[in-house]
Amino acid sequence: MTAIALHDQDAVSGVFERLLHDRSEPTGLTARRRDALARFQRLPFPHRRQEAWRFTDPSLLQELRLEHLPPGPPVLDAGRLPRALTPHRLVFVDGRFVAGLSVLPEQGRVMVGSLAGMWRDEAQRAILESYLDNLPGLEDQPFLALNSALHADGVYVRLRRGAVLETPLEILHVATGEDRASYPRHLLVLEDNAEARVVEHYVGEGRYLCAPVTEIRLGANAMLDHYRYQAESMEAGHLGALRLYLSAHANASTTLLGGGAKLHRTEVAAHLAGQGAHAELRGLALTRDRQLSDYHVRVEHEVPHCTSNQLFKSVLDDQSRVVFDGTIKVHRDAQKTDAQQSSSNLLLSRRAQAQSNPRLEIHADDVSCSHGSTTGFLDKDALFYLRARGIGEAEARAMLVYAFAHEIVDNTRLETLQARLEALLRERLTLAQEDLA
Amino acid sequence: MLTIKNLHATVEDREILRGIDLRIPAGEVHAIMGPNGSGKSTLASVLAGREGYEVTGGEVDFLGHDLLELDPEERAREGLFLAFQYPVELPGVNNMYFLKAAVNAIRKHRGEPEMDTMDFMELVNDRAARVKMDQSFLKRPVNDGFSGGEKKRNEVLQMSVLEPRFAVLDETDSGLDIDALKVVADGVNALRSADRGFLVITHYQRLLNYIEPDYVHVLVNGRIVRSGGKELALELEEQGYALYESAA
Repeated sequence: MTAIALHDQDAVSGVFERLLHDRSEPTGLTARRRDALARFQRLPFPHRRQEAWRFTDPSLLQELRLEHLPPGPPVLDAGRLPRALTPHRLVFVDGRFVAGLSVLPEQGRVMVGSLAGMWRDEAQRAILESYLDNLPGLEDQPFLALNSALHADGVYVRLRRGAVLETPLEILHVATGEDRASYPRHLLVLEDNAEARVVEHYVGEGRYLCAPVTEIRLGANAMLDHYRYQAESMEAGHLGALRLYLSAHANASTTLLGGGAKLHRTEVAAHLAGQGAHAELRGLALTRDRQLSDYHVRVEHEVPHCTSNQLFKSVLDDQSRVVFDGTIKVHRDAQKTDAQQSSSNLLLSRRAQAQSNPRLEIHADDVSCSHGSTTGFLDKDALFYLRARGIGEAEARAMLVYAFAHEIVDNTRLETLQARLEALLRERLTLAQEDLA
Repeated sequence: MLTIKNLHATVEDREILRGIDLRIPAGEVHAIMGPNGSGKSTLASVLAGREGYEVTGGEVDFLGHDLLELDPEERAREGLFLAFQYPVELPGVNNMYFLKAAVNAIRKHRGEPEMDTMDFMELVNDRAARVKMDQSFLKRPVNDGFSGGEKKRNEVLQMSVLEPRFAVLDETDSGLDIDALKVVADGVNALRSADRGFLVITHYQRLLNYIEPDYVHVLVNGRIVRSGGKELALELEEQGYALYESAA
């Protein structure tokens, strides 16, 4: 095993060559990897001087010495896994699929499996060729390129026309630390009228980098309820990307939930490419200590009559920082667009910092777009009102924080995940209360 | 029950209360009337313990406690209730959940077990009927999107559920139409008893037609300038406060 730093290009090339050597892959895939590596090396390594990284200091990344993984199957005791959120779960350890720990739905019109395995399946290869790393958006994102070059595995979901995933699917990624880097790569293809609910769940121990990329393509009238819940180790880096592509009348809801990682950044690109499509993008970040959490969201309205809604909330404690950078772009032909964006931050500490950068790029003239952003401390009047009814200060604060976050938590339509979030909120609030004492 | 002696208080370094003396025994309803800016609401805020009101002199005894030494929640747990002039909206805090948290905080303080959900629901439904509040309000966030009248009714509902020893009503009647006013008054009257006291702060005599006070005090410029029976309210209604304002 070799320790590498991500900004060291020779080292990254070395890791890449070893990866190709360790795996015998179809030439189509190898060619894609080479293109992606070239892209990664062409793109400037993130630096604060770049606009996109102005508020998120990527030098934190340089503290991570990233080890490439040896070949061979990962080993993990099933007892170390968090409780399953749903009966169907695919488990990945350090980016690699562990069949023995996974429970898959019955295959048929619904196809769920490991992405690496699907390349060997002639019938699926055409789909992979068409969609993998082929959806628009985030072309300048170096970690997406790096993931495209170095990913080991991920989930492949394909729902044929009208197919419904009856049981929600959990994609669990476990990182084992030791300065390892993993690049989970998921592809979700829902054909016309298909329907699914999918939860990505990231956990880990110790210091590591997890850089997942999820690409989602929805056919006409397809419906997806998607969650990405990052509960990484407090020493970890999590640099994620999400690409969403919506055909006519498709409906995508994606909820990004985070409480972990020392440095977290998720970039989202949603393209509404068919009339009547609707995208719902929500986020909730709970940060403390010196955590940094950054959501970069870009919604592109390409055609008329689409709607989108962004709702991002953060609860910041200690010296943590949160960045929200949200863009709505309305293309020239996209008349009758209705696009809303709202971000709000609740500061529990005077040393916490929140940064919101809403951006509207509107090239059509008959649209309804809005954005709003608020940052503030707990409302004193509200706190007094609760206390004047006999409710103690700590509980009153907890009630108000919960009230702030509830919009996102209550909209989580998977009870087990909702319960997990409520527990996380309670845990964080208890910590905040101890600070008060 | 509540004894206020020579109470002085400032807000942002401005003296608002300039020596209030008031004694309210259990079983009595006292009304405080006065022009705008006379210090009525400041008195209510000081009694409830709101931040930003500095007591610069005097004392307040409530059931043997030095009230001014207690945190707002401790005052509430000892049985003090303030019906807010401007009830706060709490989006995201469910009314029922809020009431239950309040009831149980007070019960816990008294060393009583938490109320179970069934008993609690029964209590709240009974009290909601008393203030003619639709059950759907109980499921909504506290005061969120409520009209002015609905907010005031919600205050009276909270009071009916918490059954305080002493309640301060801070202009609960302002902005209410006559029907809503009657509902509020009925809620208060239902709670009147020999071991409970009330301080009703109002700008208008009208409320006192429905909540009949034992005593009426006139507050002008931070001092009580006159006290009398309920007929004093009618006199004020006819003559206004001009007489007192010039004297103060």
